[in-house]
Formats: sequence, structure tokens, C-alpha cells
Amino acid sequence: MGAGREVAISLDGVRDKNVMQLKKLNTALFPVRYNDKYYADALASGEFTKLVYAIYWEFYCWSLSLCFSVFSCDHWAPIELDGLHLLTETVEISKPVTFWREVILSFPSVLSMFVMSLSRWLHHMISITMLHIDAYYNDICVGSIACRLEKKEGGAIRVYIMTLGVLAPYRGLGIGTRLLNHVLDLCSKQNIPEIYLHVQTNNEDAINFYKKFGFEITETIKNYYTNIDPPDCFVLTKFTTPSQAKK
Amino acid sequence: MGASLPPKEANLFKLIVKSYETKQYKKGLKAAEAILKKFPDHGETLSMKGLTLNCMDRKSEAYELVRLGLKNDVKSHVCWHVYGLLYRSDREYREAIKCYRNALRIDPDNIEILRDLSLLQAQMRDLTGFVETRQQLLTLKPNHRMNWIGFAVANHLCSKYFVAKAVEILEAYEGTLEDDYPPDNERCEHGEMLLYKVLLMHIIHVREKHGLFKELCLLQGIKSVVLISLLEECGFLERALEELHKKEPKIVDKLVSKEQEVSLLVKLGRLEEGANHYKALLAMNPDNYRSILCLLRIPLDFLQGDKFCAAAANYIKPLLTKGVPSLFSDLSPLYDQPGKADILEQLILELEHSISGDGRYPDRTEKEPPSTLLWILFFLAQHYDRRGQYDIALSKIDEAIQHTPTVIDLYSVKSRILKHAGDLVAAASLADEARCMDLADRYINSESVKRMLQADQVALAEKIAVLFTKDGDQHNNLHDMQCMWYELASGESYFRQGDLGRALKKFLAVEKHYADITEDQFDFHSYCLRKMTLRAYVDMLRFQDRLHSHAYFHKAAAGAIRCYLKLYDSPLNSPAEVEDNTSKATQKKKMKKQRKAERAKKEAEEKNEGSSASGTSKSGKRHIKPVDPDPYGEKLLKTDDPLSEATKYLKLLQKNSSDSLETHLLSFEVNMRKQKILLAFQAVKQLLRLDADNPDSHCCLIKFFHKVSSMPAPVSDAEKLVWSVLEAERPSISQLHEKTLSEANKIFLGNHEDSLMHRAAVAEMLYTLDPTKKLEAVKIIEDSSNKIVPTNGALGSVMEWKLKDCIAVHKLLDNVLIDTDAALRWKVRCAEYFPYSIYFEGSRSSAVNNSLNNLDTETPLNGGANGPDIIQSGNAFTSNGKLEAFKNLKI
Repeated sequence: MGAGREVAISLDGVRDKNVMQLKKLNTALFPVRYNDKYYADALASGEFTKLVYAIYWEFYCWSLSLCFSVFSCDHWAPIELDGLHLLTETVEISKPVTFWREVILSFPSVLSMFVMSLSRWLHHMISITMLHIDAYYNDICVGSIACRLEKKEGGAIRVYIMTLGVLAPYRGLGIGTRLLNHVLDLCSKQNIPEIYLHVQTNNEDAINFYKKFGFEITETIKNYYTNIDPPDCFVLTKFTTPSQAKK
Repeated sequence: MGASLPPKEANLFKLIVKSYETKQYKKGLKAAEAILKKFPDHGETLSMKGLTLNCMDRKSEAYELVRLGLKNDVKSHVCWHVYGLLYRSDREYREAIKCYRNALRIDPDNIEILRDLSLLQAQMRDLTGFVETRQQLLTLKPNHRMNWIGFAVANHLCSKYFVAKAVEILEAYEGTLEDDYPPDNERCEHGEMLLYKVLLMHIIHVREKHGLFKELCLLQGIKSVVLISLLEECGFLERALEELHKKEPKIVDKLVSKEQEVSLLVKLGRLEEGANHYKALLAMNPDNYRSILCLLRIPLDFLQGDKFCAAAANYIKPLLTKGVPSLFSDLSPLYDQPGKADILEQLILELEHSISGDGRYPDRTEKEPPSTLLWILFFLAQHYDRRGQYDIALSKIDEAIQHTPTVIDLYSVKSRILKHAGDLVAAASLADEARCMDLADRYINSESVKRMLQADQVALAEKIAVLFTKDGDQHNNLHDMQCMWYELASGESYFRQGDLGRALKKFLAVEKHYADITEDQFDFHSYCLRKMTLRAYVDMLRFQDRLHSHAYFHKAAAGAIRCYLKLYDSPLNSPAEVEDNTSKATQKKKMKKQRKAERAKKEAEEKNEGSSASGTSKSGKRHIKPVDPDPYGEKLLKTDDPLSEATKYLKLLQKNSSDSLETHLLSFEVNMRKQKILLAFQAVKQLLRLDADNPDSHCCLIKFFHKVSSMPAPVSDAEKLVWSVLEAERPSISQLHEKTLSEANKIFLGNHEDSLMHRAAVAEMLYTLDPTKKLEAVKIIEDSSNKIVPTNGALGSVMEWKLKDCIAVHKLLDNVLIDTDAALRWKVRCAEYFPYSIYFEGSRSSAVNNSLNNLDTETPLNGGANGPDIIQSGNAFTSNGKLEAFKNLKI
């Protein structure tokens, strides 16, 4: 018998059905209340606004039958990840644990659990026909990034990061990095040259975090905040594609 | 058929029958009229015309014509058959059976009529008749498979002593088959038949074990000597197994066949073989992977002390790591065993301490994921809730919400804790907060609706429930879906609010669902025999036989009876209504206003629909639903005799839930009001049989004899008879043996001195027996003391009294003993015990604490929703005074 424990995270879009999750996070994370426009912008930004879910799963392997120990598998479905359809070919049961570990780890966004179905006993051959995925079971929403797409004069688009945050107990696991990288990747894919955000001047952790990704302080705004102290903020900006030839 | 007609008309008559069968009713009607032009009195044609009209929604004409036809031709089996069909279409099965029987008297071998009759007999459970009819069918057409099977099933159903005969029949049937049977397209059906046979053999074995079977076999004159000798060798089981082996290639559902085989092997004591088969089964059915977990869970039911503790830790830890929200409900049965709750508490608290210290389980090196602490807190909150320590439960769940505010289950549990603690309004608003977090989840939507109904926010609940119904616009859809929990909860809410009409409406709707379910079995009598799904068929019939003992039916019937009792006690438009205190009156006014508004709205909607529907109606597809003529149950309330209405449902309860105290309590109340002394006495005796120590049983006993003693001396013979029965019975009741009622009352107090509810019952009876002893009665209640339940006392203490009981006592003081001062004292006292209770206006309930959400703290806390106004606004957040755009996102 073998066993293992893995941590995985997955991103999910914000829709009107789950926007309350984003509100809950913001209430817990930020001293500022956000208004309707914030949420309208976030919803409108599409892929640029994401919730992040953390999943912990364990798997076990018995000598005779192999089973990823999980709960609630009410429906069977072929794997569908990032738009890829993948129906595992029939695999023999005697694969070692490491094989399964690889199967799982090769899909970083694998959501929660795997259960294999042995083929009907009629065929007297035990094989794996399908993997099961249940995206919304015991995964927990632990953070979010919310952006606004802004049109500059002349038609160019830039991205404003309205909020980025991870719940305190789940920090230090690289989740914030994942979120920011997601947006940076999108920007470079879509040739969006400019990303910027506001940070309270005393928030050194955040400033250092963004600097790691190539953001620079481009401006200081006095009395930006009304209810918190200090009221001043920096504008941090990152220009992704130096060649702005497309204009 | 149509024999008395000349050839041309006879052909026309055949056309009518054919048109009826193919549902071409207009064609049939024309043909009928053509015949009637020449022979206006031809009975069979008249009947057939009636039957055709019946299918065209012209009921009254149909009955007229069919009856006229029968009158003109009483000797025609066709007329009787048609009459039967007519009754059957109106679900008047008893009448239909009579008609079929008359038809058969004229034409005893008519297969069609026999078949129709057998269906009705199965439906009405006239099983002896069912066997006879089936036998006749088999004799007439032995080459038809369905007739063999039908006869066998009829025997099985009719009496447990005929099961062996059923097996014989099936075997005889098999004897008629060729060797190469079944053909490929019949394999499933044949396999099902064989499995059914094995099942029957199994049943016989069990019965034989009880020694009954052999004897009755002889009594029933089952001739087969072979059978008996086989029995003596414990044969049936072996035979069943043999049968299974022999026929295995022919059985299609291998899984079931294997399962049956295993259970037979185990019963035969061939355990080793059985174990091997179980292993094979497990491999066959990997969906049973849960069984691996079961292996760890089951021992927790049996182990004790340290062993239990170790096993529990072993079981719980990985599940907390994984985050299994259902862990607590998985373990909650253990709380009924003494001591285990304490051990679990210790265990989990240790885990909490260790995790919040260094993030690891005790004695482990591996760090736990951050969510483990969350799930520990989640478990603890439910643990303390279960133990009645609501304060600690709330603080734990709040801690969890603060840890990870995005987990929906946390809000649901907080809502449940608040409900238990007595703050239904806050519970509803939290359930709604949970709902808002995932608007696509029907389960939390339903939960939120339920909480709203419990808090008597019916209109709002309806609005939320409708978000998930198909039509979206009307809650009738919930009725069509037979959504009974909703109807029950909303009926109960209307009942609490005094809107008896709507309450009755809802309760009777549930009753109607059960009638429909009974009705729905009709189609299966022919379908299952044809498709050979015999095991499922028999299961279904057994289920239908117990249908009305289902808890939901019980609740609905009890609710309806209570409505009728209340209606009887304070009829509408009586002086009682004037006496109603002003608050009630204004409430009624408000309700009336609300209804008027709703009605106006509905009418407007209907108008809208009408104009928009005119387009669709042209296509003719639009299904028009009949409008409910009595949406508020006002007509129901106008019944002349509420008690006889109540008796209808009472009878169903007595028949199907005779072991429930509530049934007999209601029977007592109804029959006392009806002055049916002996029936009321029967209820008292049933109560004493079920639980003589129950406070309610005691009250009924005392009330009954008190009432009897205050009645005038018997005059009529009937009254004298009743009297003599009571005289004869009274000594047999041990509680009253050579004692007066007040002595019996005192003794009851002595026996249950420590229980609040028993003391309250004694006090009530003391007052009933002698109204001058009111002060003494109040003193008995006030002298009760709320003791601390002994626990290991890790955190806080648990009090003995339940909120529900304390509320009942308050109502007793207020409404029965009518001592406002004592009631007030009681309320103040209970507000201490139940600070979250709205009823007692506890200091921490939303009844007092309405301002909690008015954000004196600038940041509203997640899960801190409180007070009803939140619900109106639809969300728990305000930002700088602005309401966030939520309402438009709701749907």
C-alpha cells in the first residue's frame, strides 16, 4: 500500500452566481469597502479576475485494487482540463504509486479527486476506464485577483489590478504568485503593455512583492485613501512589451 | 358485440370500438350517431358513444349515455364492461369491479374483461379475487407467458402460505419451455423470472425456519411429496442455490445473482465460500470503495474507553486533513452512547491545541494544511451545538468563519446553531447569506427557504424557492413537483400565524400527493408483469402498502387535524373572533390586505399572460392549467363539520401510525370534542400502553375521568352501556386503582419530581381538577430547578431544560393557568437560560439586538448577519452607506 499527499490550486472565474465569494474575501482582506462599480468592472474583465481554490488530497494504493480515497463521487466524467479532453487509455492495475502521482501532478489544475472504475466484472479483466473529477467539493476559495481593463486615449488597453489577496492562513504557499503570474501571462499573450496598481505607502511587503515581478514606483498620490492612515499611495507600474511598435 | 344489428351497422359498431382503441374519438362518435339514427335505443351503441364522449371531456353526458345504454340492454356484457371502464377512468375502482363482475356473469370467459378485472383487484388488494381471476386467465390461455407469471405473482402476494405454490407454478411454466429458451431478445426477462424464483425460495426458507411453513403446507394440501422431503433436508435453501448455479448462464443481472448466492451461502453456514464470493463481489463493484472507510468507521460503534479513543483518532485525523464537511453527521450517532461525546471532545480539543500551536497533529512531523484548523473548528462548533452549549458553538463557528470566510458550510452550520438556540430570524438571515454565496446551488437555496419558513417569513421564502422552479412565476410548480417538505413547512408556518385556511391547504396538498402515489401504481400492474421486473414489482407493492405510515404523511395528517380542531374551538365569524386581542385582529387585517394585493397582482399577471398567450394559443400547444378556485383555503374553512373532516385523517393515522403517541393524543382531542366517550377512552388506553409515564398520557387520563365524572347521570340505554363499560374498565388501570384523581396526580408528581414537563403536567391537572388551586399549581412549576447535566466539564456547562419545553410551560402559564405575573417571571428566568431565544427575548437574540447590523463597527463581519432587515435588503453588506448591487444579481 502506498499513500501520498499533494497540494494543488486551481483558478476559477467570477460570475454573478459566485460573486459573493469575492465579496467575502474582500471583507476579510481589505480595510476598504468596494462599491458596485468595482464588482461590475471585475465581472467585465473576464479572464483577468479569478478566484483561487486550494485543494488537499490524498491517495492510497492497495495491492489488489487501487483507489484514490476521496468522497462523493456521484458522476463520472472524462477528464476535462483547460479545454483538453483526455480519456485515459486502459491502464493495467499494477502500476506503481509513482505512476499515479505523475498522472496527477502532470495536471496542475487537477481539481479534486480521482476514482477509478474497474471495468465490469463480466470482462474479467480489471482495468481503469475513467478518472473522476469533482471540481467543487472540498476545495476552498482562499484568494482572488480582480482587475479592470481600461482604455487609454488612442485605443490602447491597460490593466489596473484592483485587488490581489490571499487569506492569512494560506499565505506563503505561492498562491499570490500564481494569481499575479496568471494576469501577467494574459497581458503578454494579449499584447497589453501596461499594468498598474495602487499600494498604500507603508505596505512594504506588497511593494517588495510587486518589485519582484518587475513593477516600479511611477507616482505618489497624496491623500488617495479617505479612511485609513497613511492616506497616501504609490502607483506601481509594469510595462510588459517594450516594443510598442504596434501603435 | 353489436350482434343484434344488421351487417352494415354491425360493421359501423366495430368501427366505433376500433376508433376508441386508436383514440380517434371524432370518427367513433360519427359512426355511433350513424347507428343511432336507425336504432336510437341500441344499448351497446349508446354505451360506446358515452365512453367516447368521456374521453372528450364530456363527463356528465357520458354517464347519462352509458347508464341509458345499460338500461336498454342489461343483458349485454359490453354495456357492463363499458360502465366499468367509465368508473375506472374516474378512479372509482370498487364500482368498476362490480360492473366487471356483472359483465363476467354474462360472458364468463371474456379475456379482456378478466384482464381488466385482475388489474383492479391488484390495485385494491383484493388478493383472493386476484388469484381466482389469474387462475381463470391461465386456464383459458395457458400458452401465454404473462398468464403463468401473473398467476404465480398473485399466489405470492395473496398469502405467505401460497409462496410455495408460486414456485410450483413457475416451475411448471419452465416445464413448458423448449430447451433452447430463451431467445436472445428475451434473455433479460427470463433472467429476471429466475431471480424472482430464487427470491421466493429464499422466503420459503425463512418461513420454514419458523416452523410454520411445513404445517401450513400440509394444511393447504400441497400435494408434492418431493417438496416435503426436500424441506426436511433443509431443502429449499439448497435448492435455491442449486437453481442459481444451474441457471446462472441464463441470468443477465450477474451482480444481483452473485449477491443472492453469497447470502444463501452464508445462511447455509458455508462461510468460507461466502467470504470468497464477497471478495469477488467487492472487486466487481468498485463503487463500494466506501467500504474501505466503513472498515474504519464501524468499530467506533462498538469499542469503548481507550480503544475507542485511539480508533476515533485514527479515523478522524485524515478526514479533518482532507476536509470532509459531513464528518460530524457521520459521527453523531456516537453521541447517543454514554461517555463517547466526552472522549470525542477531549480528542478534538487536543488536536485543536496542537494544530494551533505548531500546525501539526500531536506526535507527527508532517505539517498539516492550513485548512485542518478550519475543519477542527467546524467540527467543534457542531459538537457544542449538539450538546446544547450554544455560546461555545457560536464562538467556535465564528472563529472558523474568520479563518476562512469563503466556506459556505460554515454559514449553514451557524444558521443551524442559531436555530437550535432559539433565534430563528438570525438563523434565516444566515442561511440566506450562505445561499448568496452560491446562487446556483439548489440545496442551500432549499435550506434557506426552510429557515425562512421556520421564521414565519412565508412570502419571502416563496420568492426564494421560486428561483429554482421551472416556470419561475408561480409556486404551484412546487406542488406539481410534489415538493412536500416545502408544503409541510409552509403549512406549519401558516398554522403558527393563525392562517388556518392556507395551512389546511398545504397540509391537504401533501395528503393529496400520497393519494396520487397510491394511484400511480395502477399502470405498473400490467407493465411489470409484461416486462418481468417482478422483484421490483413486489417491492413496489409492499412499499405502497406502507405508504401512509411515512413520516411526511403523518405530519401532514396531524397538521390538518390540528387545523380542524382549532377551527372547531374557535369557528369563523363567531364571537370568539371579536374576543381576539387587538394584535391578532390587526394581523388579520394585514393579511387580508396582503391577499388583496396579491390577488390584484395575479389578475394583472393573468391579463398579461392572456394577451401574450393569444399568440401561442394559435399553435394549440400551450397547456392551460386550471386556476385554483380556492387559493387561500377559504372554502376549506367553511366546512360545517370540522370534526368529521378531522376524523377522516385520524383514521388513516390510526391505521398506519398506531405506535405514535401523537396519533392517540389527536384521537383523544377529536373524540372528546365529538363526545365519543368510548373512542376517547380507547385513545387513553393506547396512550397508557405506549408510554404511561409520558406527561401527555397522564394529562389525557386525568382529563378523561374528570370529564366523565362531571357528566350527568346516564339516561338512555346507550349511555348506560357506556357507563358500565367504564365502570368495568377503571379498576384495570393501575394508576387509578383505588385512588382519586388528585391522589393519582400527586403520585405521578412523586414519581417524576425532577422533570420539568412532568411537573407542568401535574400542575395543569391540579388546576383542571380544582381551579381554586391555581397558586399551588404555579408553585409546582416555579419550584422546578434547571439542573446541570454532568459532563467532564471541559468547557462550560450544559443545562437540562430544553428550549421547546420551556416555551410550552410559558404558554401553559399564560394561556391555561392565566397567571400573567407568573408567565412574566418565567419569561425572565428563561431569558437567562436561553439568551439567544427570540421567544423569551433573550439578551443576545435578534429580537433585542436588532441594531447589530447597523454597523457601529465600521467593518461588517462575515457571518455576522443579524436581524430581519438584512434579509429585506438581500445581502449583508453596506458600503459607505450605499447598498451594493445585489438584487439584480440574485436570479
